[in-house]
Amino acid sequence: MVKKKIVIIISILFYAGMLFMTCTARNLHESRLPHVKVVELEYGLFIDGNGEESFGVTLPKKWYRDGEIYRIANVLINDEYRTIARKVDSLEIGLENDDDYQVKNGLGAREKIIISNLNGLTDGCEVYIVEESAEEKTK
Amino acid sequence: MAKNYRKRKITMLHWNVRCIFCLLPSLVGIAIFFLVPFARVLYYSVISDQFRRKFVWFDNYVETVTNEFFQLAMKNSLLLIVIGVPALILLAVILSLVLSFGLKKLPFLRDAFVFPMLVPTAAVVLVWQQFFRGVDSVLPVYLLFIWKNLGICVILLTSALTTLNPEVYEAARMDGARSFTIHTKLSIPMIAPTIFFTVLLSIMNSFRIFKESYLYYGSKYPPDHSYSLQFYLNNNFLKFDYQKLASSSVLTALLVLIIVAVGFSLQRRYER
Amino acid sequence: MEKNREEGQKGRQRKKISFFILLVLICTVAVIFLVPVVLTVLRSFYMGEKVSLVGYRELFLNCFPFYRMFWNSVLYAVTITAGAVLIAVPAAFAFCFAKFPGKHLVYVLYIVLMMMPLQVMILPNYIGLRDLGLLNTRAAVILPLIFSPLGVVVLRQYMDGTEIEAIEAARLETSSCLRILWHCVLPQLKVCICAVALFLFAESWNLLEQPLLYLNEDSKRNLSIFFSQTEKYEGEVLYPAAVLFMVPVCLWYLLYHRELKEGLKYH
Repeated sequence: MVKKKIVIIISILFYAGMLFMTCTARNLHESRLPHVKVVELEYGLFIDGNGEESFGVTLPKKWYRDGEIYRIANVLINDEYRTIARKVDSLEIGLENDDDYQVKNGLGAREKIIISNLNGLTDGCEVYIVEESAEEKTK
Repeated sequence: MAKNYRKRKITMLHWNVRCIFCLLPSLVGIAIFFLVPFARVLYYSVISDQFRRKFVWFDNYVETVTNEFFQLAMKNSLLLIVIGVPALILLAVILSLVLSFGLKKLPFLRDAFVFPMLVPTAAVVLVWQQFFRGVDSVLPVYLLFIWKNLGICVILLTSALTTLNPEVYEAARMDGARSFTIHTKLSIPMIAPTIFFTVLLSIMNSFRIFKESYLYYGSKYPPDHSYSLQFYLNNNFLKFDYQKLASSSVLTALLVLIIVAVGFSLQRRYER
Repeated sequence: MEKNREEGQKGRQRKKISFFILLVLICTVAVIFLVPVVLTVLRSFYMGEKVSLVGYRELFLNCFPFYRMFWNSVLYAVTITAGAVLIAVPAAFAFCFAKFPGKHLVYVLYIVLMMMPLQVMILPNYIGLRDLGLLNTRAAVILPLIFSPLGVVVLRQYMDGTEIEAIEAARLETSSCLRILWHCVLPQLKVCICAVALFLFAESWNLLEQPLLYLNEDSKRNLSIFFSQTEKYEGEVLYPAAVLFMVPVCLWYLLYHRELKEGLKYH
């Protein structure tokens, strides 16, 4: 009924297409994600402007603008772990000094926050981490 | 004269030996993966457990037969054989009669029935799940079984029907017999061996129903009416309970052997 | 005379009507049979109520385990089919043309093994594989199926049905089995081999129990297992994945459907 040559050509195209997609799918997917830089927050001794000391997570002020902080979470999507951005809703600030805030609630130690390309982010969207840096002490 | 005879005998022997070499890969593979392990399975089924290896003979069998899950699985299998297979064969016979006599000029209609045989079950089970969503009986699994196996039954029966002699039909029609009586009294008895074979084949295929019900119910535990033998085996695989596994495998093998033996003897008696 | 012609005409009309009724009936049954497949294809292009390609985009760009499982399925199907045919053809040839003591007994053994359902064979296979240390490898799935006796039995039945006279003449010239096989037997056997290969491909494409029991790692599993774990994947990818799952088997069927029907005739 159907000409065999056509079927063979379709088969070859199909497998070639699947092979192509297998090799390039991940790159294609990652190129469409927002590329972000992240930083890991430190937990340590915090000395505020008045000299009070306490232990807590340090959040540099330069990254807490407009009241929006996104942190990195790992979730299972399609049976693989992916990095997504989660908006931190309830952030409680404790002590404060010139450069940093101390976080009482809302962010944990060693959590990573997004420090670049914040415009297009929404809560729960997948991101691609370009660069990860430890926090630099600005003192 | 004698020399020629001896030479022919040597070439015959040579030929036979070389043929046996051709058979060797298949035989070796079957021995390694089927025969030797089956002997060990028999051995496992008559010992108490892996460590003490005491011979307990039939205790494992008794334990398996009285296990309620095994009984449930067997009951479901037998129910499928007793209800599903006749329905399948009836449908196949009707369809093949119609396709061979009523619609001779349209052979491509058979394709529509063969195609489900090859379609991977997993692909269509989604539609099945959606369609039968709320139905809590064993119907979807039975329908899947019939859907998948109708193709091969129709092919076998139609190819058997095409070998029948058309003159007999001419004679019957001249006598004024109606189509229904012609087919019931002529066609079906004439292809009875093929029908037997198809019934046997369908009974064998009914044991494969596990795939359909596993995919249909996903990772949820299957309801009672769809609990098939493979579930029982899977659960025991997880527990590494070789004794139960071995005894249930041997029992199933016995059951299949009995069915096959009965089928073949019936067929031979019918042919006489 | 007139009356006979009238009766003839009425008979023909009745035949035409019954033909059409049968045609309509069979066509509806055929359509009902194809509905699940057609529905799967149609639904893969839907998202909710609207037609959209979101499912395909999600599948191709967001569901990476699918590719791995797809190529595993391809690997299993191709190796099992090729291996089974390579082993079954010489074996059937030997059964057909050799005479050795116990040949009938061994053949009956093959038939009995072929009739055994999977549940009986899965434990012996598992034990054989465990002792060879092959569990949790791809060979665990491939090897027992390569040696399945189905191909041997079907091919031998077909070979018995066809008469190969050239064998005797060829045997006088050479006693090499392979050459006789290649030149005399194979050309006539091509149809049956294609049918058996198609059937084996469809079966091994559809494997479920063996990968489930013999393999522990997801990296070696095939596509049927994808569909038994549907809760792990987003809903949109399932129907497109089902369509892609069906495509290879459909393509092979389109290539060889004539051979399949002819090959099954000689039962």
